[in-house]
Amino acid sequence: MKKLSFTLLSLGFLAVRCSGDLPLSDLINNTITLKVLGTYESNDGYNFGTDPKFGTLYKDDIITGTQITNASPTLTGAGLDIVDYANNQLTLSRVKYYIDIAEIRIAEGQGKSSSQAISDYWSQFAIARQLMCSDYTSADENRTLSNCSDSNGIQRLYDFFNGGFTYPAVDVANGNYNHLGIYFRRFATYPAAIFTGEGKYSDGTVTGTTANVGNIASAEKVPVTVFDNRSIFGRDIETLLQNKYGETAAEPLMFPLQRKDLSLGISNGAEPYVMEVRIFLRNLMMVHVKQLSGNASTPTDSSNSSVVYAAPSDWNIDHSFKDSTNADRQGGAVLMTARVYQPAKVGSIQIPSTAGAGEYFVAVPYDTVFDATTTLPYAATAGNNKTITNLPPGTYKVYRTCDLKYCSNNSSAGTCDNLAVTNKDGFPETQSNVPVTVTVTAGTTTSAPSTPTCP
Amino acid sequence: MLTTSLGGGLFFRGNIPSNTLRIEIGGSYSYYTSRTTARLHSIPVYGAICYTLPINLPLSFFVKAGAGGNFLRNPVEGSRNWLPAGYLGFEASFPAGKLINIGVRADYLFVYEKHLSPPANNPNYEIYNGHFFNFGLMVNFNLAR
Repeated sequence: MKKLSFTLLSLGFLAVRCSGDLPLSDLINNTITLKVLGTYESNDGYNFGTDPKFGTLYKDDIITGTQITNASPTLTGAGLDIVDYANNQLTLSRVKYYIDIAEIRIAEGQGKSSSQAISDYWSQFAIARQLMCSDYTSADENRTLSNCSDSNGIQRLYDFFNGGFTYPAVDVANGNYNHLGIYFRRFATYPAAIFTGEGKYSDGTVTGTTANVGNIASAEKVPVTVFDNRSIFGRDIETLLQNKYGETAAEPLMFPLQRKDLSLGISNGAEPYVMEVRIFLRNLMMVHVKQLSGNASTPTDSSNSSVVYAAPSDWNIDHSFKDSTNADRQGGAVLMTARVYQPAKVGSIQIPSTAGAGEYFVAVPYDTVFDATTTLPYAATAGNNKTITNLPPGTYKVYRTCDLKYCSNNSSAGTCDNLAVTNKDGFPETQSNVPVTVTVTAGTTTSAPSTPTCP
Repeated sequence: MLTTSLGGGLFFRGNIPSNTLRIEIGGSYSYYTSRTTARLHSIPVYGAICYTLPINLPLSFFVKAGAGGNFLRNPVEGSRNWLPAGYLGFEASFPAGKLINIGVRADYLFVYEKHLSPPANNPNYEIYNGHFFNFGLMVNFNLAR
């Protein structure tokens, strides 16, 4: 009997020598690195909040230095609490972010058949929930955001906005994946403040039908939302982002935030590769005001109260904040894109000279059509940086994208083409008329023949 | 890291000129899934020596030790291989009639992969051995006693 087992053992060894596949170790060793970035740029983004273009938050076009335009009841006067708050108190340095991503999935299919299970359609390769937060304090007394704290969520948020953090992920089978979804469980910002119908800070209480006046501290404690199983001060803005203006989406736009037209080719299981996912949030935040305006004849009526908060800008459609039907519909303002590259086989593009503040250089594969008004580019860098990196070999079109227009009451109906010099929205919707063509080879930096311009 | 799975297998046990020792060969198939995309097909085959524990009960107890090979296929990574394996087993069974024994068995397979070299293009690759624990309900047919 000893002979038998010895024979089997040696048979095993003989077969092993034929091939070096490692089916067990492959379970644990993952060739994928899933990098998640919160920026328009794929490399060398603008500094957070310090670049001249991004030193302050954008303001919705109805917020001016002296009033909230078209408010009813009127909200006028630079010293009025709501005007002062929207202009001077809700500043970029005070904004806190609370982001909870449940998972990221990819799929090869274009549609889901009713007979399929979820796992038949989606490759659920990144299922670890990722919490990011600016602060670990909560609105619950003596409680902190323990899960966010335990997973070092402040650092993760910093990385998310500065070059990306690594999302835990396992390998997926070879294939060309065109559908990627990011499941946002929560997205909230702080601060947000509540105001009375007359534009004074409200403490959130009502006497009869009259909203009681408070101060900035009490007004910022009224909006409360939930994050990491705790109450936090701030406003849930994910709800606002689920539906487009004037629409009720068949699928919520943030759960998942998805694209079905990507081309994520995964072809070599043994070669380490990076899947880069970018969600444009940084340097896109805007101060918004939403007025309820229930009873204009009695300004003190609590039904006229309003809220001021920070959320992604309304670059895609102008919002009428007195329109109660659409008050919570700011969807479509958050865009994402994804691509795959093998770090061992990438090149760079060097652009001769820098662009203006707040402008970007972007690269897209030559055979694709780029529309800066609707999609994020394949790869991008800040205009003050001249190199686009991590590009797989191939021919690219290099554009410059600029933020020249914004949405306002003065835009043509259905478009966002207001060309005013100030009060833009952070979204670079204008691209070069003529791109510069560059062919990239692995391991080298190719110089672009000229610097693309914005029209 | 993989979830438990239901599989099936066969084994044959033969007498040798000994009161307490027998020999056994067996094989099985199982498919392991996970909460993520990781999947694994496993077909171990083994040969083992079984020792009957000297316990005076209607139940018979065996402890087993042996070796074999384990075919593994990782469909996500596209990798497959026969790997050498060590085998340990325990079994308890009782006769249910003349022909049939019913019992439970627990098998442990140590699958050796560390003799292989990592892929050349991945410097961070670490090689792991595998550990499989199988627990089974069994029916065996006594062809000869």
